[in-house]
Amino acid sequence: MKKVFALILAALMVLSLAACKKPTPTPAPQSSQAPQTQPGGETDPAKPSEDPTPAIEKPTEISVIVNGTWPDAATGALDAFVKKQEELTGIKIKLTKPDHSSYDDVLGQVIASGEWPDVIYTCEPYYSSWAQQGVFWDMTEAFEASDLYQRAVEAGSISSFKSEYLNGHMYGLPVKRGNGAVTYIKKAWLDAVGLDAPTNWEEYLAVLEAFSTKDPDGNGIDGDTYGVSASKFIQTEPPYIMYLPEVWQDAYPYFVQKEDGTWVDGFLEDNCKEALERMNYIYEKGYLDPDTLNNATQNCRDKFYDNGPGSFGVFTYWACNWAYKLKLGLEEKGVDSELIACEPIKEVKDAGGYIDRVSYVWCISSKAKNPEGIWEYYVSKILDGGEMQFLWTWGPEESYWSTKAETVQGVEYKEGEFHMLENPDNNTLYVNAHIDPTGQLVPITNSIIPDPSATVISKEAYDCMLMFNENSRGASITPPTDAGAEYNGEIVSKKNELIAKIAMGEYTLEEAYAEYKNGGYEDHAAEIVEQLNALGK
Amino acid sequence: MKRYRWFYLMAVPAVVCAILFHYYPMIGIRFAFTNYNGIKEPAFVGLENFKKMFGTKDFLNAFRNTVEISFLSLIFQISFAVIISILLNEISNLHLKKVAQTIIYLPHFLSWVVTASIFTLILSPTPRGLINNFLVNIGAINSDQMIFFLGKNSTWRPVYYVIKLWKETGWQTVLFMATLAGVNVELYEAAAIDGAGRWGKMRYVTFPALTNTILTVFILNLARILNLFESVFVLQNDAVLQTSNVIETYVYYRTFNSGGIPNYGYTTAVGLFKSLVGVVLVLVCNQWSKKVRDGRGIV
Repeated sequence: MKKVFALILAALMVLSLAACKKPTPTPAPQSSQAPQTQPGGETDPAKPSEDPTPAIEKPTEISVIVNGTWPDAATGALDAFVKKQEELTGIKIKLTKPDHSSYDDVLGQVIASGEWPDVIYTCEPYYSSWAQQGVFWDMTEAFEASDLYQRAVEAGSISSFKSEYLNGHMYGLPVKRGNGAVTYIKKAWLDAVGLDAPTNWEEYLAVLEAFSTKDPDGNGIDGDTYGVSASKFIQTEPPYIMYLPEVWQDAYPYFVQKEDGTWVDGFLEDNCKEALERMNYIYEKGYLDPDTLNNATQNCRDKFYDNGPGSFGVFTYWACNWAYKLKLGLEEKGVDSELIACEPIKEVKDAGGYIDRVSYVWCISSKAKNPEGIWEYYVSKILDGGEMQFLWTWGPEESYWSTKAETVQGVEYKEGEFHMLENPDNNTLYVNAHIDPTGQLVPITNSIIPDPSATVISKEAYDCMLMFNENSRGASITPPTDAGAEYNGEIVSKKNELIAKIAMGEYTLEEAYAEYKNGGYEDHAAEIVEQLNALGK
Repeated sequence: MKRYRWFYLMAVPAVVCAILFHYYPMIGIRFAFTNYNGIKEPAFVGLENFKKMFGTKDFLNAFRNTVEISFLSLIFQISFAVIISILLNEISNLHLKKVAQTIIYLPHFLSWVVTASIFTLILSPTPRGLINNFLVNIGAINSDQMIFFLGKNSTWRPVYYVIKLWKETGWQTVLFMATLAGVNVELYEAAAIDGAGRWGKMRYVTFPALTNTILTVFILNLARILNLFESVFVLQNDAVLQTSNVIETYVYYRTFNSGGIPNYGYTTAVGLFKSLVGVVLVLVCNQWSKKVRDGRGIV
């Protein structure tokens, strides 16, 4: 009996090991022809597109890796989203969706493993680095020959696509604007201290001082609130300086290309030193929340929604839809929810405005068996202006939106009236799926249900979008270099450390820069700058 | 061998697992002698990565921090665990003893992420911070003199030790409580007959009984002192990297702050060095263990 039991146990354990083996994917037939140019023509929105040319093989199955910007699996919306895509494209999708907060780490490990999914969603700095290493398929020809290119030209958004070009080549397709952060101020706090939204640095300081020393929240206690808070003094990924634009102004503490095309270490420039002095000034004065050093964005939002001790009145956060979400957060706490999404102060405007970060992109792996087919039948369809783009923008029917007669959050809708549904996770209405309609690059013109942007996008988000689009500058891509791969990790850590210490008054500017120089970081940065400048020659 | 063949057969999957998941990955050690970005073929560079490592101030600082933080942490933990287990042992009410032990032991089950969130809030240098608020209310400091416990190099390490003690001491007390439970009651009676008071019993009976266990725990943990990441990573921030950066967080930042393509060869070299130091520590501790535990080593 013991022998039989031992044998069964051993067999079970062996089987459990064998089950870990990944099934070998069936290779799809190779397509040897380049995609053909198709005239932009009407397509029947109710059916998947007809094969444009028999020369490009349609893949039967593709593997996709994406972060938390696709619908959530727990609510069932993800399954509906994937199923609808499969229905529209006729392609089976094998999805990998790591946890959103660790997506970049996991994706890095996936790339390092050598087993690359066919379709990869990624952002700077990984996009340019991996493109340089040959991870992604060059989609330049395919994009420029596509009708998407023409529609982008007509929509006036072609520059957003071209901003993803690296040395004249495109390796990733942006499907929405990168977006950036704008400064929001609680109107009730401004009214309480008798000030208007600031238009320059002096007025900004006056607002911060009033919020920090007076009683803007009306609890009867002076000086228990802060002017502004942020998630860290400086972020660890580009564009690094999104959350305190009034402090940074035209400074950029990493590698930056000047107007004459030369690259420099922005940390050594005078405007950066001035920015660090401003940071230290508002910290020492108590205008800047000391917890900025440790804050995650969630902490910041929670403190912003509160109105008690430790809260703050000025918050630079994501533009467009967050103008509405922040308002909802304040309403939920019973706080006056009127927010002013401010135009940039003069000094930030002179620098070009708020930063519109480089967009996330959809890339095709260079190891994919049929990249032309993946482009033609899947990636380019994301912005087809029809059903696929509608799905990617508004989500799956009956999960994210509906046209049935029903009452949602106390609002009655008639049969046929488009309305968003409630997100069971947080009891607020869904605002969009993967593509933020406020960051749309090409319009939806060809779907069964007309694009409901005009009715669904909240007034706050829409007004913010207009203001941001008019007052923003595109972030640039820093090309990867060998010296960058070698030293960037240490340089970024050291700069962040010195910036924090200068801000908190632990180091003077002189001490910080001496440490930067004496520690060899300045020399390493100079190597990177030299290689960057050599790239252009 | 023939007699126990079925047991050997049952052990085969475990051996296969150990080979697959512990020994096979060691093939990756070869990357320590290459420049390897995870995408292109590794390029052999010999000992360049190690030379670079020993010439890098950040690495040397991280190594020093690792040894200091781990060693001191170990000393404090064992000392407090001994003291608390002795105090718990003195509680005569069994029910109260069990409740106290459970309360002390519970923080061990919290994840470090949750622990860091809690203490970041408690130690916040703002009106929301419990400790600073208390200090202001009792007049120890003014409201504009709030202390940034986790934001200053001078206070970060002491606070780290306190948090680690709070979280991990309970786990250590379990071992010492087990030892104390095994002490012969007649020894205490004999000590009482000889006129020993509470302190005398502790000095002549309890401490000697614990000595072997203390040394064993110390030696066992000493071998692992270089494995320090999670607790430091969640509590550190940009301002305290000088005193808080340890080898594993150094490798993490070197890899993920590199701007997309890290040199895995260099970070593997750092990891290999750490492992070699760990092996030396284990062997040294093994020799000590044999001396202390009647010839029984830890490996």
